[in-house]
Amino acid sequence: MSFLCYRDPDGNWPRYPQDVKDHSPDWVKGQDLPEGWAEIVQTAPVPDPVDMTFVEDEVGPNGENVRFATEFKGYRLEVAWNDSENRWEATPVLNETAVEYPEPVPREWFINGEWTTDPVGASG
Amino acid sequence: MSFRQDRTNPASAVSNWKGRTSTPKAHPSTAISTWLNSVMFAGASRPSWFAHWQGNADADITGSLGHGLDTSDNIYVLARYGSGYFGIAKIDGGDTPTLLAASNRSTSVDWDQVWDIAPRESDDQIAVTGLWSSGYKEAVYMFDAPTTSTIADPDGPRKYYQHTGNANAAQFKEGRHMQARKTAAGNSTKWDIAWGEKNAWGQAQWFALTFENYSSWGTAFYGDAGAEFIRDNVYHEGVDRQYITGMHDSYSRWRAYGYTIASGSSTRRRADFQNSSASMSTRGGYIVPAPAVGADEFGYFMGVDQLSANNKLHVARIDCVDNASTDMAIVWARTLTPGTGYTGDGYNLDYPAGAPYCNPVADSEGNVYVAFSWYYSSGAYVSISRYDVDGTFNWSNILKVTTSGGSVASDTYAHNMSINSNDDIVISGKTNMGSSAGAGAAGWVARLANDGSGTGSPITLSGGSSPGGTVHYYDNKTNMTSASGDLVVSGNSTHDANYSANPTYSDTGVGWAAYPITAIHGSPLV
Repeated sequence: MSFLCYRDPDGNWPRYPQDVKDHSPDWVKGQDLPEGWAEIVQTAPVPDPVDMTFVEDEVGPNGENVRFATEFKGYRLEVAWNDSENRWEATPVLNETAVEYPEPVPREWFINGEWTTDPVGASG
Repeated sequence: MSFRQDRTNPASAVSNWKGRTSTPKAHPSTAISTWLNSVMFAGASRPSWFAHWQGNADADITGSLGHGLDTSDNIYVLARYGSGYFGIAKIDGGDTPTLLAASNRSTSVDWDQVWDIAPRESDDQIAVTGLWSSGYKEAVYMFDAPTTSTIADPDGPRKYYQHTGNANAAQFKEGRHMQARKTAAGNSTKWDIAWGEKNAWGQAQWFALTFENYSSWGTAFYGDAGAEFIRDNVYHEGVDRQYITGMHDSYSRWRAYGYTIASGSSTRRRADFQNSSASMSTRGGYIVPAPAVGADEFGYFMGVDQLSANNKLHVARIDCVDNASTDMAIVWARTLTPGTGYTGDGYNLDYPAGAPYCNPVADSEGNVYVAFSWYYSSGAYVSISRYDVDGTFNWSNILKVTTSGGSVASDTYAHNMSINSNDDIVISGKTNMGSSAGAGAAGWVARLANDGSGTGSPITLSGGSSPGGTVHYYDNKTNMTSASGDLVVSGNSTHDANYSANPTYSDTGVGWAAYPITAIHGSPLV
């Protein structure tokens, strides 16, 4: 069990010490939280992600290797009130997400007054 | 000392403030006398400028363009041009950018990438790192600092090395960072370098070492083998601590490393960063140290969430990155996204995938600057933003280049950002302002006032093989949305450093030809 972050009076999380201070300028970390604020405790470490599906590697504009994930299966944190412990808890839950990217945009070059996606020797 | 303009010019209309959460904005917790700086009360901010350059016979700049600063604020720039050549130049970083010296150009077309350049003043040396294309080996050159307008050819052979643990197919392809480490006295004595390494099985790990010269290489060490897949490694040395960041294999979390080397400690502290939905990230992950502000010692984390079309940049102030026995903790975090009404010159900014962004950097007062590049079908440009030490979103500007024909330059990317001794922002990258392929490809470096000023009329560029391009530097804050961040440190743990005993080094010679960069074309941003 470890402190994860704060929850604000409107139920938003994650919030941080500076957010509390912005709300109550005299508050100092370590003091009791202002009314309506609460700590969120993480109940367990977030496991490593289960799986991802990637499209093929690409070479990025700076020559770096680029991969795009299309599907993600891993753990997100879910926050709920625990009556028996009398506290807000964040628990890792399995989450599957299909990742939708816009259609890849082809790189274009302006050569001899026209745009082209296939410049021969364009970049040396 | 910065004048806290945000406290007198809040970003949102007072009529929109919420009674509970916004009241503090009208009641600053510090005296006005503590906000003052030169911006409003002791003189104007220093002028901003943009400078570009091209190769000599090879006009087409084709590689990443890092830069380094010396203590006199001179700027050393690195250019890959042609099909794999590289050269370096020294630029006066004062109010008028001028070319002070330039090197010859390498003759062998063997630089797949050039990454970083760092001057070291203790012995007037300049180191350059890159990727030697034959076998994807990390390579280093060392130049003597120029005493005339010519930067002499390296006085030693190229040093390259390969991690023998993955000897068959180690590929140093992912990420890079190098800096000349400074001692407490301010002199640079060593270079630190870090990069990612992908082996024959698609696994990768981070890898870092320290070196002094061709014959004195420090102990190399590397991160957890197997599972890591690293991008954009950053290796920063503070007074007595080091920071390494990298990407987790799954792209779902950043892993940030901070560890001490004091007193022979080899223990590092690792923290995992993620958002609430765990859906991050494909690129980035930086932790950089900030100068001490009062009694606080802290750093900044930056990364980009790209596992959905709703791309976000996260920036967070991190405490306790210096201590191997203390968990890292977020002081504040912000999420920066394009505003819903943003149509920036007709370009959809929802899709920066593939757009590189550069390291964040903090000034002497702890304000943090983040920059990244948006690109689209026919153009790319750079967004630069500032948060103050308390996480207030101060300003956000766009730096854009258009060609002589009026099109947005296709290749404007920021690669590297730093802060000079006057707290000016120095940022460098590449662009392409030409009307034919390659002809207008150029490197650029800009010195920008840290208060975000300098936005105004577009500037028509002169010089180079394709003059007539235009630089636009304009305020974009109203088109950006900054909110309390969706970012947590989801795990802290302690790891013993995994010291490697077997990096191998080799030397090889290389030719140099007289094709130096001959001109820097500077223009003020007003």
